[in-house]
Amino acid sequence: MPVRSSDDGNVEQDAPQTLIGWQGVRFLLPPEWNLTGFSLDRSNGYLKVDSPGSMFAQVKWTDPKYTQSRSVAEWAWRSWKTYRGGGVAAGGDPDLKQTLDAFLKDTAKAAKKSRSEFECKVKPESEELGGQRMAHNFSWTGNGQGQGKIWYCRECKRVVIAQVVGTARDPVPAVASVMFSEMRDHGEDGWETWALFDLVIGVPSNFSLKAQKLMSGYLRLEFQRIGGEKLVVERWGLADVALRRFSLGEWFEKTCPVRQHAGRVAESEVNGHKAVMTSGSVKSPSAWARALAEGAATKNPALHYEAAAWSCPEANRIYAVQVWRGKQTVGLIDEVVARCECH
Amino acid sequence: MRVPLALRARMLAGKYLPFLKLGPPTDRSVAFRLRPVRNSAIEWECGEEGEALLKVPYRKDKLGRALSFLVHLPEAKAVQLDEVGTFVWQLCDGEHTLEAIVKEMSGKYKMNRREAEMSVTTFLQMLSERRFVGFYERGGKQR
Repeated sequence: MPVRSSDDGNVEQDAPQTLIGWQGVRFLLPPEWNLTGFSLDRSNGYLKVDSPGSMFAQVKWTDPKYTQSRSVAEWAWRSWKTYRGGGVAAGGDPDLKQTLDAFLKDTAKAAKKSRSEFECKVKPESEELGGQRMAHNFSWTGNGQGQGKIWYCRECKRVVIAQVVGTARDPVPAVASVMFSEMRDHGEDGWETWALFDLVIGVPSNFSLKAQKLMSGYLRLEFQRIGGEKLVVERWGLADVALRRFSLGEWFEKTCPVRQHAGRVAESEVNGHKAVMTSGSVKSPSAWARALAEGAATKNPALHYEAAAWSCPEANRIYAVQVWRGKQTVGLIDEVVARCECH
Repeated sequence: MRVPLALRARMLAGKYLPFLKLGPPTDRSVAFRLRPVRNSAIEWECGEEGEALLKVPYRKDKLGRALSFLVHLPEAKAVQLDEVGTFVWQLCDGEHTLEAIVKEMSGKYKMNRREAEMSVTTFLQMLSERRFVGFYERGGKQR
């Protein structure tokens, strides 16, 4: 049920939606909702998406087996619990009820601080997606209202808690229903969707996020996988202003290390837009040595460089994808570019 | 347009002593109802490329006069805005609210709403710190 939440709290049907994708978690929300908080960690992390009004969506995920201990005593206690099977149900799934109780206790504390009466309802456990995950739905009222879901995914081995929070007048149930109906916690066919601020890209699952820059008008996501292969996706806004003084080729040479890798720029086409592409190899001795050291384990050092950039007039944006790959990795840039939705 | 000393002291205290909670409104809906207005002492004109050149006069009070006696100061300093800055500057006419400027900006440059919000608020904050613009709330007080 597609919805749009307007400022006055009404819900409009059949409106376009915003896709959010981060660390394998992806879901739909009404338009103009945007990512405001995130963590870089895949095992234990969080995500916060704010609406233009007073609502927000929150997702937290933890890998029960990889929880970091803060002290030796905590580590010993966890090891003992794991050895005795505590905290893990008979089927090997973690105890969701225990995690949810702790989560709701924190929410109740916040409600108590604001002197609101806290009430919560937790539905019985149900099986979803053909037994791939076991989930509890919950809702609460107190300092506002919230609707959420907690589940354990047997495939990505993560416990995920997601909730939509708003004031008593906000259409929280409608937004939550859209969010949870399409929500996934891992990628498909070895590819994961990363979607934020109207940037939607597909990245192979074995690449992990190493660095990010999320600035107004400029986004940069840097991924790396074991062996040192690197993938950088960038998006600039205000393409019409940027390309008023330079051609796309000139702009590409100025912003991407094309000359450093002795690449020659050739014209091409991406998603129906005029594009520029280049390929070359790592030239600097220090970069060469680093690539060899990092790629020693996989015997596939990332010594080859490929990049593509294109301007999308419909979205008024410039996109660039850069890949540092090994000799055996072929066609990665083409696949990433094909999975980048620009308009 | 002079900001009263008491208000300036309050703003400074709010900025450097945040626990006093004396700063500008933090509620988004209140902040987005504010209307930025250009300082009337600043003269400006648009060049051939559509970029505004602001002429900001130096202070003419006792301190300003004393300084100009000691060091030669020009009548005004020039500040060149880029295309996007000029677009926002033109909308600081006291009629458009912050919300309207964000909407116009995201519409014209096809920017994501949040990105437009960040750009506009950061730019206006910068202009406000230099006293190039002030804010007022219709039916309320000047900020």
